[in-house]
Amino acid sequence: MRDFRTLLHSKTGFIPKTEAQALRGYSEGILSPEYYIYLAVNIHPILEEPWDVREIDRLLAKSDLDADTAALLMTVFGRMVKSKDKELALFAAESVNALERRFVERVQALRKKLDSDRSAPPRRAVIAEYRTLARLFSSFPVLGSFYLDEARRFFVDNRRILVDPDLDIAVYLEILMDRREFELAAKVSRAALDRWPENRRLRLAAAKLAFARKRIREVIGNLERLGGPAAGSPDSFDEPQLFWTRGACRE
Amino acid sequence: MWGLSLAPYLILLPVITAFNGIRWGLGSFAFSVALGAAARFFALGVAPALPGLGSASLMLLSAAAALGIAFTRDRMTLFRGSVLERLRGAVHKAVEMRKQNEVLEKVNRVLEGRVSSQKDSITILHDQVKKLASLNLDQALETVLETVALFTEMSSGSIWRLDGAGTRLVPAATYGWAEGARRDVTLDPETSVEGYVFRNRKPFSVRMLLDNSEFDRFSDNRSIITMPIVIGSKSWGVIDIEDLPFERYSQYSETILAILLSLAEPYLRQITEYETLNSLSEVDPDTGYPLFSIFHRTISADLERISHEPGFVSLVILEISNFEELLASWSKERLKRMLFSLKDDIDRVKKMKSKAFHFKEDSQLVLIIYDLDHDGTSFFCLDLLSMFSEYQFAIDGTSMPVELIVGFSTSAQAVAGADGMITAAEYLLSVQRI
Repeated sequence: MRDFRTLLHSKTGFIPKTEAQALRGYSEGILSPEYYIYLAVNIHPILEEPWDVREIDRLLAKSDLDADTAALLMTVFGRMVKSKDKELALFAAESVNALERRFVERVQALRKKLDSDRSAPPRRAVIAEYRTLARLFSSFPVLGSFYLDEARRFFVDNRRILVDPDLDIAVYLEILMDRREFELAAKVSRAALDRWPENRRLRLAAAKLAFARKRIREVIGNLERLGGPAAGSPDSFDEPQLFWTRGACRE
Repeated sequence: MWGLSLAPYLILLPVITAFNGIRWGLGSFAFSVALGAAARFFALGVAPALPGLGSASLMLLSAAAALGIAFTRDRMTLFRGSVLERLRGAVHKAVEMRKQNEVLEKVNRVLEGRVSSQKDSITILHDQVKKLASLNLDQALETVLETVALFTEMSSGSIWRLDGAGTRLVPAATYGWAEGARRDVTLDPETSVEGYVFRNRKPFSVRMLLDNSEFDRFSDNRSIITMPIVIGSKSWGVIDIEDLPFERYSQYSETILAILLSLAEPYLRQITEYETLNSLSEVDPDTGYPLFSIFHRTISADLERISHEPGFVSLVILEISNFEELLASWSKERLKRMLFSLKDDIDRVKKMKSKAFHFKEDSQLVLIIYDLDHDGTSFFCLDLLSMFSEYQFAIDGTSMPVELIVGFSTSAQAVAGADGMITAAEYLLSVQRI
């Protein structure tokens, strides 16, 4: 049986740092497949200290960086900027700027297309990007609120186009809730439910709003009226609905 | 003359066979012979004579060559067909593999992302718990809230404890409180949910409002989940989850919170004990660290405690052996402060928090360390000696080498009580002084 050291021996001296490099090394025939397996199963969570700066840098360089990972990176940078290591703190500060710039550029690119396209999808994309920015800056309340306000203003400016209860009105409600405008959100929610009383997403948003206002009976009332999902299109609302309406919340 | 005139047609048979097969070869041969005979008949007006024996052998040779060529041609066609079939199969497989590879790469990317962005892993929990061992209450409470936020996605929360007068609950730590937002910063223990939880040591969850009328009298609606922080079977404070995503509110989050508090309890107990000792004002005026009397009481209490529960307690005495020599250059107060600055270096490098006290002499400091057995303490001391082997105190541009000696003992050794441990550690020091 070959030992670990033999398995991870590199004949050419090439030491891969990432999974992708190990896979490339294997396909070029200069590394054993075990190298790739070893790196693939030994992933260091980015929140874990000591921080793997190389891994963070690699994630940051991804052109298709998703919002979840970006938000997590911001959490890491939020801690890193307080580090006593000045170099690390500087890296974090620069990364925060780079991340913000990247997402703002996405918004700008989307907004440029709006003059020639009067449809709803690109407008929804703009709102989604503003919400992502607000989420990235959730630990910087001033900036977070600023981007939420931008999303809200953009929705109001385009409200004649953004009229879908699932894709637009429910999202607007969530923005208002994130902005903690509970009174206005309640008003919008009531009006929307009067018009679309059977809409699941609006009903769930109303339950969320009641929860945020700590009105527990209202939460249950809304979830009891939520009904079941359309056949063949299950959604993610089942779990909270079951918890609140099947008695588990009273245990 | 027939034999000679037949020769071109006989060449035609193998040539056409080679290019188009035996049927085409024979057909071409028969057609060309018939065409030649007809031309001769019309040109000369006589029927062509039958070929002679010499022509017959030529015909046999041509037929044999044509058959050989036809056989070879068929084999080659078959071989080419099978090669093409294999190639087609290989191409098909390669396309299939490429598609599979693309899908697996995507899955791999997703899994990699899921692992690297894991927020609630055991390793992160371990990291957070290690941060609790700081002997700094503010930092520990901040870590508790941060850990709760990581594992439950809480966006706002707080820890409350009684104020100095013991009449109101005040925030000891907060998380996610927006600046400028109006909030109550003192709570009446009699009329708040936090006070109810604190007094009764019972958890509160907002769903209890559905069935329990006992909460109706509490007017505030700050809490989603509130749990008591119990230290040494006494209520020390409460933790309040004030804002939680709707989807995260479940029995699971409540259980997670209870587990996190239970993990934090031993660390918070140590910190509160240490704070209590410091507040007894038996501290050195120069360094702010507790004096030998407190050390003695602490180690005695620790030994009493570990007689009932698993664990070890160790003491490590650090002594500057050239203290007298250093006194020639710097004042005693300064040297004492520099000696205790070593404790911060130890905490930083070893990432293991310890309680520090003054020992019997000004040149000595003593550390109390938990949960290291005899070997663990020996290695700890060896690390200290290597850390400070070339250490120098530097003040105002003057630097002097420091000679450190270390003595230790642990509860894992067969020594009796606090005095026994102190004697064992002092014996090691005396051996090194010789």
